[in-house]
Amino acid sequence: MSAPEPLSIRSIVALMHASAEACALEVRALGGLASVRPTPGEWCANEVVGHLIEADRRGFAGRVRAVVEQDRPGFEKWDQPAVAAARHDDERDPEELVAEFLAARERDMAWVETLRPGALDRVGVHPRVGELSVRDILHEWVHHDREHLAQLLAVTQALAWPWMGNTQLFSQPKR
Amino acid sequence: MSDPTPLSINDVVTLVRASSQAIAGELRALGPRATVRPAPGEWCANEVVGHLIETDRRTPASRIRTMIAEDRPEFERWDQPGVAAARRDHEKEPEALLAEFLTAREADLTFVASLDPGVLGRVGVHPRQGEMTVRDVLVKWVRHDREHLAQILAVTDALAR
Repeated sequence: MSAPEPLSIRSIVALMHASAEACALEVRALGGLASVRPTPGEWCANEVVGHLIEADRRGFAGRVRAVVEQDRPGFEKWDQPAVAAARHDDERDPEELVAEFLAARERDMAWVETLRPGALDRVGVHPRVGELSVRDILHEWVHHDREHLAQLLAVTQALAWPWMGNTQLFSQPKR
Repeated sequence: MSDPTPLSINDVVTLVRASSQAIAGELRALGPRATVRPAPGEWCANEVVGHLIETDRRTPASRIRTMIAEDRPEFERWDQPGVAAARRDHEKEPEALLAEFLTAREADLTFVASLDPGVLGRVGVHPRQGEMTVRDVLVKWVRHDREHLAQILAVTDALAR
């Protein structure tokens, strides 16, 4: 693959809907297992979804709105582990959490779809990584979703691993 | 995670159906990019789906059928890279490939959903990995799907950078 083209707003929206739906499918399929942490200190599936809700609000949709509405806004950092711990998502009903996530994501994507291509080059400033354009943030959103969807899949894989018998020998043990 | 319980047949069917739909969603969202290889020699998203079609055909449902019909059947190995190259999935329409994948997958899931839990302990023998039960093969299916869904997500990620 040489010099890939940036994703269009339409492609980004399609990919963000796909990963949101995939997260919802995985959490629903896990059912009661969605609140089981694969190892102490690691997030359960519910907590991954809780992180996505907060990241959408604070890191992605929130920042894109600020960049569109203000000139070179400064972004605030947020304490991700503390926010996650305060949510207590491991105690929540997975279906309720998924509904919260999908509803907010739907609203955010409906708004992103209305962005004009001219808005993509507007910038804000992050205290650690510096200047970020709307295009950068939207692409990072696609990446971030896939990172955490892969984390959700790894939670399920960890739950499956002890019951694979000799078929474990087909895989590289991750746990 | 303390004291995990084995996945039931119903859990396996639900989880494999969820990953099938997630794979379809990602491929559809990629559109024509599903045929773009992130690096020379790496599979594009279409080729990952082609691999899942071939794996489904040769392993979970097919091996389970043999394990139920025969006593301790021996499994055949297959040349995964050779089969993948021969399929030429990077030249295919993603939607046609998905139709092939989802149709066969649904038939396999219907068969698995009909299994009596009494067959879960039946055994087959792989020439390299040795003895495996129906339960092992089913749970491996859940894990294998997630391995390759993560691979498709990595392809998308590479295209978004």
